Amino acid sequence: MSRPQHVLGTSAFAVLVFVISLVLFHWPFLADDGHWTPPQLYLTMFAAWALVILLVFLFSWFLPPASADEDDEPDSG
Amino acid sequence: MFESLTVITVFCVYMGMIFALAVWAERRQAAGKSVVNNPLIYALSLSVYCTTWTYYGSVGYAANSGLLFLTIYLGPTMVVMFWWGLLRKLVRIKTTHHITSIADFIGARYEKSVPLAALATVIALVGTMPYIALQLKAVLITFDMITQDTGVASAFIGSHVGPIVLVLMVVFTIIFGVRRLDPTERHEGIVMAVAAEGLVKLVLFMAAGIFVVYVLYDGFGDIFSRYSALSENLPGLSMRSRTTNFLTWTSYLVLSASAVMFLPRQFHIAVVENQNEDHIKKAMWLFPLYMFLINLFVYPIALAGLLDGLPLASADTYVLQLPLKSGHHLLTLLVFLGGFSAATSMVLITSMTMATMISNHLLLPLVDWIPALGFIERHLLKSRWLAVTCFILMGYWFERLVGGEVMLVNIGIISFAAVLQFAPAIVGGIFWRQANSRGAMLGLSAGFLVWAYTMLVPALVTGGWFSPNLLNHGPLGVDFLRPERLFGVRGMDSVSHSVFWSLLANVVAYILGSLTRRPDQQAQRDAESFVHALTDEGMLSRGGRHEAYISLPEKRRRIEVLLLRYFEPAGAAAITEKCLRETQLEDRERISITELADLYNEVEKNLAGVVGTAGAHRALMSAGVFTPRESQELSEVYGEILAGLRARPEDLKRRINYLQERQQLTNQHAEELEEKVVELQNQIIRRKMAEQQVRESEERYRTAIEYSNDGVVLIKDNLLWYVNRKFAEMFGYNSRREIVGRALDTIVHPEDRERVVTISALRRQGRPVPSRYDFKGLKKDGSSLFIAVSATIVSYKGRTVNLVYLRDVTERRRHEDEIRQLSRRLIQGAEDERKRLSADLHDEFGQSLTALHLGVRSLESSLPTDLILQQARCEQLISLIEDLAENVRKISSDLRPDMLDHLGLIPTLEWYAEELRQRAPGLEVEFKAVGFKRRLDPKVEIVLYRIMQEALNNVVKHAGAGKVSIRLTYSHPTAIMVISDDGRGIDLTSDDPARELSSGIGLISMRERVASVGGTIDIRSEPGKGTSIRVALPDQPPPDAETLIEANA
Repeated sequence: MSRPQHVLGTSAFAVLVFVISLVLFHWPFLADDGHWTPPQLYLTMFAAWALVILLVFLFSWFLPPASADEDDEPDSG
Repeated sequence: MFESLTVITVFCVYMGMIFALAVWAERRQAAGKSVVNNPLIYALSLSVYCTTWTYYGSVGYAANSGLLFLTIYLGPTMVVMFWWGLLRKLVRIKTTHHITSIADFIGARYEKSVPLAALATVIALVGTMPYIALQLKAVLITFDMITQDTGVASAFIGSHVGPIVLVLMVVFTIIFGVRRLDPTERHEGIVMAVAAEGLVKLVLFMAAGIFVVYVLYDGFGDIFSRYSALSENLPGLSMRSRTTNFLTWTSYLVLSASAVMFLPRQFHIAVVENQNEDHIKKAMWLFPLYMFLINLFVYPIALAGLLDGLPLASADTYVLQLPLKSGHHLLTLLVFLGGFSAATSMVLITSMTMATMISNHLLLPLVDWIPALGFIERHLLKSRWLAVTCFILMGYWFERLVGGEVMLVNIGIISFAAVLQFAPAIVGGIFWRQANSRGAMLGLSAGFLVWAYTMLVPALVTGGWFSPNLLNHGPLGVDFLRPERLFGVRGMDSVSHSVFWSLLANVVAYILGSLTRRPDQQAQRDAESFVHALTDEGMLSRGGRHEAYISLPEKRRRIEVLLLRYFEPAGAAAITEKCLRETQLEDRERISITELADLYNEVEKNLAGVVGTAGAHRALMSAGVFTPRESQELSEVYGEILAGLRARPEDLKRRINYLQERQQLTNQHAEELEEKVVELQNQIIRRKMAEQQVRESEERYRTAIEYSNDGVVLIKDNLLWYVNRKFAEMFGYNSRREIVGRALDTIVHPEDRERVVTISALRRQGRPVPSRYDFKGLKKDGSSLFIAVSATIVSYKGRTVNLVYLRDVTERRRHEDEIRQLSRRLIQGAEDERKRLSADLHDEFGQSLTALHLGVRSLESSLPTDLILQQARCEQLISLIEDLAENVRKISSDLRPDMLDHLGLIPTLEWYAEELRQRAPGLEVEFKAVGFKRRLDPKVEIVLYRIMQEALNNVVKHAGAGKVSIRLTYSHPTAIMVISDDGRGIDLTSDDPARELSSGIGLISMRERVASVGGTIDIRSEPGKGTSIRVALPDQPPPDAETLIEANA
């Protein structure tokens, strides 16, 4: 197994991405929302969304084929 | 604005196209070339999640509540990374258990519980009904917005748009998804249609967004800056109460994360229609990307609508109003079509799925319960049509009920909260093996009831079905039970409130219910097969009875005792060993019941070869291989397998018979294949021998070519690909390397280059060209030589090439030229001699005879009249002299008619034709001359005369013709003469010496004469079909006339 696959195609990475998305998608509430203007909110949320999609793409890219893990529990999720 | 009729027509045409696409996909599937079985289509079909709620409702929600609309799409994005474990597990279970719907899944997991599946169906039915209402509401509002009727038909449609849309939705759903029963519940056509509609709505919504942002405004920055400047005076976009918003935000994330998998339509597309688990990997990022793109312009459109002063109450339709207001009607129609597309795909999939669930989990159990309803089983398809119709009608009813008062998003949230109730049962079902049907039933019921009380009831109050007092003061004035303030909980919005209480009730009941009952062994096995679906353990537990507890030595002893009845001890032991080996049980001490069954079958098979199938069966039955307990267990195993296959025993028997026949056929086929393999091996040996012979032959051939006295060349694509030594030597090259690879025209003299290259190219194309011809070659030193060519097409190393043999004929050509020159001189000399003789005869001999004739006449007149005898002698002399003069004149004319010089060619030829008529009375002679207004060169005239003379002599002597025609035509600067007869003809291809003697010399003479004045001659003749000679001569012979002679048979 190559090193990126060892890191990116694992359930640990999936959990990490979930936590990142959880934080990013709640960021307007975690930060002081009194200073957020609609354009700032819009840009922040879409940038965060794009980042999460990129991370999910990396995760999916390094996943093994479906037939590879029938002898074991799934590596993710 | 459009007429209603126009809009309906456009929609029907669009749906027709989508239907054609679906039919095409189904045909491809039937042909084994599925277009749907790919991750892109799978990901696009998941976009059925984005309905009119996304298309219209998101803008409305953005205008009212800021970015809260995004939670509907961020929630799914947050959970897609778990799809590889969660969704893939669901897909694997679906494949293993032949799951057809979400209700079927829940029922199958929990002890195949029929009531549970029915409850899940009811929840899905009630829960998705508002969603259908949402789609219908969006369609009706937007339809009304873009239409303005003037005609009678349009006015009728406009006033009945609700029922019409309803009928169209029902018809399309039945045509697309329920036109036949499909046991797999997989519909490639409908998936293709949904994927296509997903693409359409994405493109059209983005088109609307680009129009608003870049045409109506100067980009995102412009919209945001204008909004910032005016935001204090604009309504909407509230996001002020931090606590409430945080709870709402989180609740929406939870709802959407659950809905993307557990909405019936999402479950159907994502799980039931999935054909390959690996598709999930791409869908994990493609689907969020789709949602990202379709939402990119939602917020700017909402801001633009507010900046444009559009009413906040109609924010749901900003995406349509903005292009409509700016007068871009075509864009408006397209955007409407996109919205319609979003609605139809959702209605289509949901209705189809719900129809399956209603018929399988409500109607059929009802039939079992009430036997009088048994006829429904025979009309299952029609009952599904009825279910589709009723379901859509209920959605319409709900829309009429509450649709007018509630925003699109709020209707959708009701459905989201309903399907959230499936989450504990499904997620718990695939990860918690102790979960059981009691827990699921209690959890689902509790969650559903709380949902209905906290969310559905308030919606019905809004629709006027219940008194607002119920919301404000609780039932019977009990404040403690207010639907939106249950048990006095405050500080939550209604959605968060409902999510909190319903999920709490659901989970608690689910856990408590599961913990308070211990499932039986069967239920445990079912649970195992779901929990470990992605591992072998799950697969094994589904089959059950895999414990290896049966003693193999004991069974072996029984089998050997049985076999000893028919075989010697050594033979019995050998057969037993063989059976154990075949079933891979040699080294085992204990085996499972299924392994014992395998061993039993193997022994029976071996024994059947001796005592027949029936005898073997009877013998084994009497041998007591199976104890009663083992027989019972085996029976249960088969029962489980049968249940797992979902087939009746008769069906299974038929299938087994079919498979046995298939096996026989396969065995037969294998034997045939073995024979073919042997045959192929023989063929290979023969081929190797043939190849050896070919190699030897090639070697001989190569040697022959190498040392040939002729030049040999292979030409490929106008390049000299291979040449032999003689070739190089012929053209003055020191080695072959110097010339190989160069162009063909390197060795051809410029005079003949075009002709030779053309012939070579045409030959390679397979066109008819002469295989033998001459050309003028060009040596390396620039000198020329004459080459005779013999060429053909061959295949060499897999390519088509010209194989050309070349012979240096320069010497021969020189001799031929000399002969030709001599021949011409001879002809010319003969002609000159004839002319001189003719002149001498005419001028000298003729004059002498004239003088003699006059002298004798004078003598006769001077004789006395009585000398009768002398006078008679004089008369005789005069007569002789006149005959002699006539003969001299005739000989002179034959040698060269003087009239040719004096009167010209045409009168001479006419005279000759007349002569011929008199000479050969049986021959019809036709003469015709056209265009001769002036004299030709004398040399040309005499050639024409001589050819006609020679040709007509041949006709009289050899042709046996009844008719001959001579036609002369002059067309500056060429005189053409054609002489045709209907005689016996000649074979120009024959080498018969007699022909050469009879006609060949004459023909050669003609050709030489023609060549001497630079003309051409074409002789055509076939035995029995006459002869035609065509001569074309220039009116002035060139000084160095070249010859081109063609002879075509």
